Amino acid sequence: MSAGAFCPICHHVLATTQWNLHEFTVCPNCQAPTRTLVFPAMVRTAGAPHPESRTETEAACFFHSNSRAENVCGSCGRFLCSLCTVAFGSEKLCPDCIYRKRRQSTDPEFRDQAILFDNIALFVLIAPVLCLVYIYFGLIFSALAIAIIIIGWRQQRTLVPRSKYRFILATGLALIEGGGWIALVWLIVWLIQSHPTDFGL
Amino acid sequence: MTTPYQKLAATEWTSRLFPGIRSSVYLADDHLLHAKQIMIFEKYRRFYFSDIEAISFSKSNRWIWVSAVWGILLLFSLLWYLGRQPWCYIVGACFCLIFGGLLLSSLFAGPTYVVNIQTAAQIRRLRPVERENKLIKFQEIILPMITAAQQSSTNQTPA
Repeated sequence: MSAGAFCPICHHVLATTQWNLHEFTVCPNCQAPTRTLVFPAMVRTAGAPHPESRTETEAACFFHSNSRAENVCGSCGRFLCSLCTVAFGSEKLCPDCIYRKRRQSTDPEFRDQAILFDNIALFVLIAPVLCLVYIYFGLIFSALAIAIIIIGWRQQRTLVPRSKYRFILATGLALIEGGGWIALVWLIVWLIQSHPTDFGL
Repeated sequence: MTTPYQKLAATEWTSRLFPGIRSSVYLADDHLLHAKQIMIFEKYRRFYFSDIEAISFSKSNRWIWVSAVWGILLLFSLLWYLGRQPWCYIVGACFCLIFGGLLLSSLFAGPTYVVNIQTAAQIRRLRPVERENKLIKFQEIILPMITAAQQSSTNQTPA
């Protein structure tokens, strides 16, 4: 059995008499009106698995040679005892496969984060303007943002649907900022050339 | 092939202004996905229906405080009308529209709760379903699915 249900505000353990009531009850610690819906998984008797010792005719766990194999890893096919079997959704896997799949992050089921290239591109475009660095390196930041947009358009692998409008917005901003920077430099050069005396030349 | 996710709820649009607060809850066939956006990353947490132990929620006064803040800002916006200049009226009207809209949206969204979802391995706060109407809808969808998943997993377990 798990440690119990907790108050969402103070994380104090709630009494079992407060479980699955139709009305709110008061948390004994913080007095907040609380309602807790507890499911059968809370009282599941699984607890800590105890792998059984194997006899000579039985298959052994890949990781524990003295334990009887009870499952087969759904990814690599290794024999696993109850201790080494990790239920991941509907699959049963070994800890090695879970570690490897999470590192590779090719399987969406094991992906736990995604990089948001559209947000990076927008940040690269907006931050220099706010920090006034745009005047010196505006073209570089615009080019960098366009490179991020090109890479991110295909590489952004979010698990949930995400609109592409941020990419389009970033592309528009990058073109405006790049064009604006070129126009600004051209204007400064033209002013210096047409009125050199005003600039002490 | 990626799992098709159906969006259940998301935090309000004002959460876009604060990094790390925006999050959404999605529904798949056998699990819930909590997606939290932190600047340039989106972090995912899965809650398989067969593993969910408890959903706890407490009433919170946050909606009253938030509405009070928008109400005070709305009152301050009215001070622009003391300017007796046409442009002051326009600026005042703009601010009144913004803060009045925020106040109304906060009031219409209803009371707030603090909602936690618990499995044997993790306890997470579900910010996207902390408004009353969203919480009720969330419960209507999710509770039968959790019950069904845990009944079937109990039936499959040998005695």
